Amino acid sequence: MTRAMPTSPFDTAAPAAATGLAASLVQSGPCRVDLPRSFRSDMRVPARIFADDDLLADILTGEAVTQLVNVTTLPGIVDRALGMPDMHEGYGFPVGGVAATLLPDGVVSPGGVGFDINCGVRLLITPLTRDALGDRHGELTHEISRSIPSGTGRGGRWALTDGELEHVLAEGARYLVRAKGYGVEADLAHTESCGCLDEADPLAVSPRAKDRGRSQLGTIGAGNHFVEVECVEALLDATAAAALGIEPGRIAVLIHTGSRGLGHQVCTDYVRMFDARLAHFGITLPDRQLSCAPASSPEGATYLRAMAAAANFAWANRQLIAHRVRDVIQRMFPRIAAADVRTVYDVAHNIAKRERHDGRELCVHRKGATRAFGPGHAELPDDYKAVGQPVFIPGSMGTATLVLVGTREAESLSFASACHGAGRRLSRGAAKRQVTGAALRRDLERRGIAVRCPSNAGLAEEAPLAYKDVERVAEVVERAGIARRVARLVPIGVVKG
Amino acid sequence: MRAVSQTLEHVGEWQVAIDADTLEGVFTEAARVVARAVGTTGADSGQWEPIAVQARTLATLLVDWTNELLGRSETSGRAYARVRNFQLRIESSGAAHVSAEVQGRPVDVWLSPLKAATYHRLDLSQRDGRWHATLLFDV
Repeated sequence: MTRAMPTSPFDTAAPAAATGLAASLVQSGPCRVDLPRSFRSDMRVPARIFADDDLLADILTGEAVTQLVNVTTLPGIVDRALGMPDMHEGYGFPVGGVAATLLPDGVVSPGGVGFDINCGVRLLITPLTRDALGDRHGELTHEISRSIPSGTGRGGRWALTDGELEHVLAEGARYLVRAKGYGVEADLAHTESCGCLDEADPLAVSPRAKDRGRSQLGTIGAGNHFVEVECVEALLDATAAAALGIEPGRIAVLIHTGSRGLGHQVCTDYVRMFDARLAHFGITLPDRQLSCAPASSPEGATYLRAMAAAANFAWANRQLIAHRVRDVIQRMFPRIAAADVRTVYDVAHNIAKRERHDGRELCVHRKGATRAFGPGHAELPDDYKAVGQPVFIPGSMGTATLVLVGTREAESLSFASACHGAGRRLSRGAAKRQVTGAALRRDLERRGIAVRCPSNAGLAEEAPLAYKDVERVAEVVERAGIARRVARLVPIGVVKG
Repeated sequence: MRAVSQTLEHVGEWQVAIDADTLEGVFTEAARVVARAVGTTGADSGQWEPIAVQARTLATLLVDWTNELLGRSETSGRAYARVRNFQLRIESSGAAHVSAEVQGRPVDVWLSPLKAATYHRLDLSQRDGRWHATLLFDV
């Protein structure tokens, strides 16, 4: 008996409304346009978008720019609100939005982080070459899919005890590596913030959030989360690639997931709390999903501690998935040691962090945006100090992933931020109108990309045609000066929730 | 009680419109929307579970009710499509309270990319004698 393929809830209706903002945008540099503060009376700072004409045309088709303007109204915001080249419409903040508020009294907004706190990407590079892997890429993809549960709500193999969960929330990836042996010390050095935000407080995380996350460590989740097996196709900066340990023809594994239900619940809890307290703080906002509190208030400080705990959960999640990928590779290729599968870097793209920029202590919100420190930054590991922090711009199954490094210029241009992906250009419903999951699956397989995804509908929603051109996005990032391209990786296996 | 829902276009997230002849219909349809999104369910109906949510406005209550069901689904492994003993109280201040019982079926195949319902573009209003709601989910 054949079982019907699960369907997705997403369907369609009317197209998104166009905005009328284009005429007010002023070119301020290469691939850079500004929207002056005078555009709307409640703006506290200007807005800036990094895009070329084509990407800007896409950005202007939705409400993303209006949402960026809304972000400029946040109390305590400094310099300007920023939109990355992959920016698109979200809720509250646009996806691909960056905003910094001046501490101690500037606000922190859970909507500027998103529900998937510390959603992020980790790139592993293996000693395997494409030639050595041969026709076993399907087997490798299959074994990874068997080893790493996917899908929302699906638990992993490890139901954490209360004590273990407290450690994960307080210590993040550090706990998994040092107490559990799930990884090597070099993983921590090559993870943003060494995989742990010290201000995390498990007591700031609700019992419901803990219950949601308890069995989800080591799982991918659904939506656009994935584990992808890739091959290094080309080096675009051989010197930087050498510093990152990236060589042509090598097999790599890209992990994209976050803090799962635990992070979703933390955001839910604090958006609700802040929304109810806005009047108390005397804050009025154009969008309730921007609800916020001064970082110095008890509410704001508690959120930052809870967010840090959820971020630690996410780093532990990607650490455990990386450990399981290593297990799979070792089982298939016994001569490869776990430590030979190196973490190139693990970077968050939904987070708010205390950072110093231009002599000021700021709370930098990155919602669908990646930190991109340039060469010499004190927070970089020694082996990357000369080249800058790795930044990953994943494609969408059939398309390339670009590895970049941050620039010194990004510090003044974008609070040292770059983009986090290609960025959606079609709704899920629109994607499904243009391609079926079955056809996409056949097309990917024909191109030598193994696919493991339980839902054809879910596959179609994440089809490459639903996303902007990742090569153009990466090129714009480089032309804008906020990161520079190092290597291009192409997918040979995809595991999706 | 008649209620229907349909998806509205949104590039990044998932937006749903609900139309019902009563507020109970809106809240029950919101439960069905979440249950359908969560995944495919088995036949076992399980126990009726009490649920109570309060919020400062009626529209906010709809979001909080929806998020309560989402969170409950993920922790219990059930999809809650059935609602009974629905009681709604709205205070003069605008604060709203809902209590009810919900029944969930175990989820066989998890599908849902739903992370949470948001307050963005939230609407719950009565027009032409019917209740209309718009909910935007992060996915």
